[in-house]
Amino acid sequence: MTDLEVHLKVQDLHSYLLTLPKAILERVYTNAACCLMVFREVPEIGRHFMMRMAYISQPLPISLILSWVKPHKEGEANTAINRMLNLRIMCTVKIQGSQEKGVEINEQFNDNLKLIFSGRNLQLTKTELLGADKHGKGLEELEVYADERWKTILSFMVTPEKMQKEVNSDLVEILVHSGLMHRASESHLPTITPGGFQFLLMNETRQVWFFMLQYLRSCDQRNMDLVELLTFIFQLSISTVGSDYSTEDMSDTQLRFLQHLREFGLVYQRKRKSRRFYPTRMAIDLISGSKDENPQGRNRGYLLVETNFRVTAYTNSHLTTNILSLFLQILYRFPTMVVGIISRQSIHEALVNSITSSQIISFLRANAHPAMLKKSPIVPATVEHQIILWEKERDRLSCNEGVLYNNFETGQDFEILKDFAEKNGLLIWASSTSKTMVVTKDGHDEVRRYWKRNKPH
Amino acid sequence: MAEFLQDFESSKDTVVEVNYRLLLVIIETSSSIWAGQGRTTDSLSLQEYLETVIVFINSFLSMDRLNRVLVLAAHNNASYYLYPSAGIASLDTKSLFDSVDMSGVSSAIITNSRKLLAETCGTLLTRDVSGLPSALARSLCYANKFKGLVPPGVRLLARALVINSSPVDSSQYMTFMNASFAAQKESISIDTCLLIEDSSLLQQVTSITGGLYLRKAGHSALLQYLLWFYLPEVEIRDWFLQPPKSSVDTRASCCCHGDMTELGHICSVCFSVYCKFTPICHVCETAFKLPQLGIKK
Repeated sequence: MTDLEVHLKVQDLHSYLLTLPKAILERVYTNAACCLMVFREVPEIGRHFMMRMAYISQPLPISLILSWVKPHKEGEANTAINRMLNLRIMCTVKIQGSQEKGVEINEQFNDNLKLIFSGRNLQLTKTELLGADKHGKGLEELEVYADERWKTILSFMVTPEKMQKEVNSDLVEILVHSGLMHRASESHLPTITPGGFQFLLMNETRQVWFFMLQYLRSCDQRNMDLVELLTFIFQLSISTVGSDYSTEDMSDTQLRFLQHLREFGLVYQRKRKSRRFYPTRMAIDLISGSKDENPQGRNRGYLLVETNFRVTAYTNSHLTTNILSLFLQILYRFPTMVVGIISRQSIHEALVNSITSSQIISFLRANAHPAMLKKSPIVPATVEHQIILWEKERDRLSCNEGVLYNNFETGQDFEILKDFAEKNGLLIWASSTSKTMVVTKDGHDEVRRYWKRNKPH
Repeated sequence: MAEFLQDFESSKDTVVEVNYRLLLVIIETSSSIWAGQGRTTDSLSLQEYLETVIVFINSFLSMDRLNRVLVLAAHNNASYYLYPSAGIASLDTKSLFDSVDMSGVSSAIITNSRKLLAETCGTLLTRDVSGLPSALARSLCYANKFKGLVPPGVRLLARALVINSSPVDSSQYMTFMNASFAAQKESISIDTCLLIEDSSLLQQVTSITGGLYLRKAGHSALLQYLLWFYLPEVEIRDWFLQPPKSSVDTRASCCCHGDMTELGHICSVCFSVYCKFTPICHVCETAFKLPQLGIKK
């Protein structure tokens, strides 16, 4: 695969967990919050199986479980069971007095599920003992803070020279490691890669999730225990925005992790040594970024796409304007508004940067203005179709190596050779008016031999 | 062209729809039922019953992070909020974004029902009517307000579950019907789980709204029952084998005596049903001509 054809693949939670060793998975499942998050990602049919099995304390044969569903769903049920077996949420056991193997829910996992259902508190430790925070942050302040932090990272990707001072070196390492940025040599500033362009077009929750996966992958190099990090992420995702939590019970690894999260904007902590922290919306939405969901309407959409291909964006951020100009020809810029037009040229440029049409369309959808969300389809169909057609346009030419035959003396010679090549599937193109034909490179020898044997004189 | 549209459709599928799911749970806590019950091996105490319901509610909340729940108690002849404690007033945009704290749900249900029992234990029941229709109407109001708060582009899928253990009086027929038609219009299905003998009224309510009606004598294995049949959402119930449906008794109850009538008189203006002829409609006060006595001029 060449550098231009990179397509950024984002793993979902389950496929990520599947890459982990069994021992780590077992340890992850000792935490109830982790179990809940993993459970929520199981296909719906599988979740219902688990619900039915949770309070039956004996292994059940697979054939029995399959008999719960109607025949048309059996395939799906099987896939779900296999997925759960692979994730070690379920395990196979021998049933006494029966040939068939049975399955049961992983004991640890099941115990945790029952705890959750009975209403056990899974939340992180609150800071009741510390009393009220006189420097407390309101919801909106937290939102602004998270946004600002994350935008800094994105801005760094777009204009590294300007943002250099605001970004920590660890973060730059992650960006380079994940292939979003590329560094020509140690002393140089990294530059954005095609993968990075695709990253910019993803919605925010997905960006954060992708980024976090990359972070977790490199945790060994940082001497951090993966399980502790995962546990903390899962606990954060069931916390409440606006509440403060205590750092008291956290391990050293988790405290270090907290400092990184603070930099990404996932938690707010006033000072490094503060004994309390506030999770932000981004931390809570983190796991949902593993699925390609529509952003949970935060009413922050700012894009209007008209049927005449004109795009109006109500924004004053340089970053957004930069991202928009990836696929938009900017016409006017005002203090609070940018107007641009989607043209064949502008889309073509985006495609050259290996951004795909579906990424552009999902970007338009994800950032649509509330007024546009009320319409169906959200983005005008003409615009969507045209963008796809423009992408298809690039695939019109395909290259084949071949050998040209021309200057035939008679039309008959041409016909004989053309028929032979066609019959054997060696012909690429032929024109009887100009008596020219092209055969494949591999077929050239065969056609030549045939011609020598069958020359009509 | 066709080929490209096909590609296009498949690209569309990758975007997962996000829906809020709201479960409106109505449970019966009438003191006449729970106080008078002697302990047999089969029956649960109110405490155990509430715990069962809590496990069911928590398992619903565990299914998805956008799942939300309202719990109402039909107590004596009125309805009370169990969770959220502040009821409809607690609904705001912020509450939509927060993840639900399941331990909070459980403790709210327990404390509110305790408070409810303590407050009402001294009062005597004046009329023997059920608080069910009131609870039903309240839950629909809640769902309606919720719907208004959901941001554009996100849908709200609501359904109700009534767990009933007291007989329903057919004098409340009109309230039930009004509630169920309102629910039908909002495509909210009402499931009922009956712990006593069949009630044709509740059967009608479920069949109008496309819900699931099951009668379960006694309390044994109530939790398994709820998890098996009432946990799956309406649109995926078709995946699982379902208990056989019983035929629905569609008789209406009459406005004059509250009896179930198969054949009767209907007011031509307001469609009220009467088992006997009345010259003036009780509901809309339309005056009817007396029937001709067969005397011809």
